[in-house]
Amino acid sequence: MRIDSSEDYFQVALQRMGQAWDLYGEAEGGSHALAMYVSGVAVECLLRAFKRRRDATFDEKHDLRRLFKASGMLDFFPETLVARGISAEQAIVSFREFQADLNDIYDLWSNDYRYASETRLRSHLKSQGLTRGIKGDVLKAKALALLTASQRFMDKGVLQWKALSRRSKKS
Amino acid sequence: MESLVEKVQKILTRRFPPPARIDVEDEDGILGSVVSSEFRGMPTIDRVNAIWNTLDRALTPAERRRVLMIVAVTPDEELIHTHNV
Repeated sequence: MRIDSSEDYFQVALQRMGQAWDLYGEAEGGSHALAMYVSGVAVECLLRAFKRRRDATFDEKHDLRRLFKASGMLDFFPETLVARGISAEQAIVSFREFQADLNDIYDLWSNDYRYASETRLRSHLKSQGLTRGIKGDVLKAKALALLTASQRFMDKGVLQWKALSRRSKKS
Repeated sequence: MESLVEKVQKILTRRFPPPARIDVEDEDGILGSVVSSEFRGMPTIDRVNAIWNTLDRALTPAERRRVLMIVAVTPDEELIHTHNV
């Protein structure tokens, strides 16, 4: 099946993010490995939607770093924010929080996770040093970290998408 | 008859009254945003739960499946997220 339109990718991104939360919150302790995989797919679909909106000629595959760049979503203009009433300090904090979300998404997701059992993924996260300082279920904790970062990224994407759509309708 | 967009708008407005801003639209599914100072300092999972607990109580399972995403942000976050668009 071939997905061609940015709108298709956008719709799938929203669906996958909701499904990731459903998987995380399932009774019997949740499906945390699958929730992590699905939330990363949501982010990938969102990036593809934005990228397709700008340029449909190049495929970044599943490389999130290249997709982050190609999407055009990451531009940050602190002077614009200050001009609109946000303090310079708050603008910097927001930028760093956003970068932290991107780091979490990049560190905690791989397309290979679709093959990973809960046990395998737990071992992998430990081997990568990503579970230090966590007490209790490390997979659940990292799933929540990834879903939180992914949701914040989706929030940004949805708001930008709506703003762009409003602008398209006006012009 | 009330559309699902109108129903979702009404449910969210009841839970997040003005000055919160609710914006809901239907484009192959319900998509919307709640912009409220109530979310300041609230963890993401609590925002997600605040939205979905509200909707789950008032929508049928079939209606719920049509809601794709409701973004929950503060007014400052809305501005920061969209300043580059």
